[in-house]
Amino acid sequence: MVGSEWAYMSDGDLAGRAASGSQDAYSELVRRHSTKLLNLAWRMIGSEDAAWDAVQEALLAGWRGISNFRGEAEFYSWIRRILVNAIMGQFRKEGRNRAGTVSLDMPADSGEPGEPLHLQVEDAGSDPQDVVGRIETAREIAKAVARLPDIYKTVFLLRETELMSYSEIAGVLGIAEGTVKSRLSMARRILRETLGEEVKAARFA
Amino acid sequence: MRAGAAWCMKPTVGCNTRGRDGAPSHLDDESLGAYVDGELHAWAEQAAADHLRTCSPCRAAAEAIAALGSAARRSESPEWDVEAMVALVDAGISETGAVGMACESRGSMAEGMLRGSWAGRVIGWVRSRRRLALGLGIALIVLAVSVLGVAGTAYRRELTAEDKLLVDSHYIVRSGNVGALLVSYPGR
Repeated sequence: MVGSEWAYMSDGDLAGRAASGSQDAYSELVRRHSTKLLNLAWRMIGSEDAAWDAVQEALLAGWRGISNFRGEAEFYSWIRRILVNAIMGQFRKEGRNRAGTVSLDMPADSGEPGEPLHLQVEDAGSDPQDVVGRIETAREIAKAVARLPDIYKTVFLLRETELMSYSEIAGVLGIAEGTVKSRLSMARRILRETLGEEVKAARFA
Repeated sequence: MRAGAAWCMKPTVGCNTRGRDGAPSHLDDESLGAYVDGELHAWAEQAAADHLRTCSPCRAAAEAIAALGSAARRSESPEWDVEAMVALVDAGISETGAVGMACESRGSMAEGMLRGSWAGRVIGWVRSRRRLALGLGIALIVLAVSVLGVAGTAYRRELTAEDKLLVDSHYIVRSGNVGALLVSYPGR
């Protein structure tokens, strides 16, 4: 089968072919999903190189375990679970569960790690929507998210960038839904405080 | 999904929702987030929606939560060389051979070779249900030992007295306790 023909096959069909030993089919799956996986890993870890390594390892682990892929879930959900578990395992191994440990490979123009960010929200007024709207686009958000403690950051990213339900997040991380809810709430609270006092103040002014 | 029905009792301006003590009340952070995420039960969602219609601070906070998520989704990310990743993964797979024959330490080589066969399916089942497999394994071992014990006893009953002496003396001599042989069979 020529390469272009793989492109017309569904993920499920490709996974089936890959389980039968088709490396080309698996390569097509890698081609389709690498960017999303790399973005997630990069946001979780904060380093392009480390994200690259984590995704490569996850994809190789996916190949090794492709026969366990039942086809009941989306292939992306399945491989993402492998990736997230691997990264969380690495976090645990490194004892990494604190803020300010990641750089997101951006210029260090926002102070020392762990130092609260002071973003351009001086004229934001009291409307939280205005505050968020004035934040210097999503790059600042990414920096603030990167500074979250890992357990909060992971839940926040899985919810907001992967659009996973609380139940799915709980399943992937092996925690209770209530824990997902509380960690997400904490992540948002920290972000609110990091991104500007105005957001916090506006609510109960 | 869990309902977050707790209400935060903090004084505010411009909120028409009142708590039992008459003070303006607000949705707590978790409930507000769950509402934005569509994770509240229907009844709690309706209650939250009713509250948000009359409480501008909570409405603003909900909009901020939604905007935060939206901004996070728009956040910039590096330009990834996908084809380089494809090549790297291909190379990694080629190093390890066919499906399942990669360098995973826990017997994956054998698993890969057996893939598709009944033995491969058994291995896959064992790996997916390790506790149950362990229990069944222990039960099988106990059963095997019991069967062998019963069979051995039955076999021994078939032996002649001379055979029994031969067998017993063999084990007693092997154990080094020759005295036991003399005590057991003093007249022979």
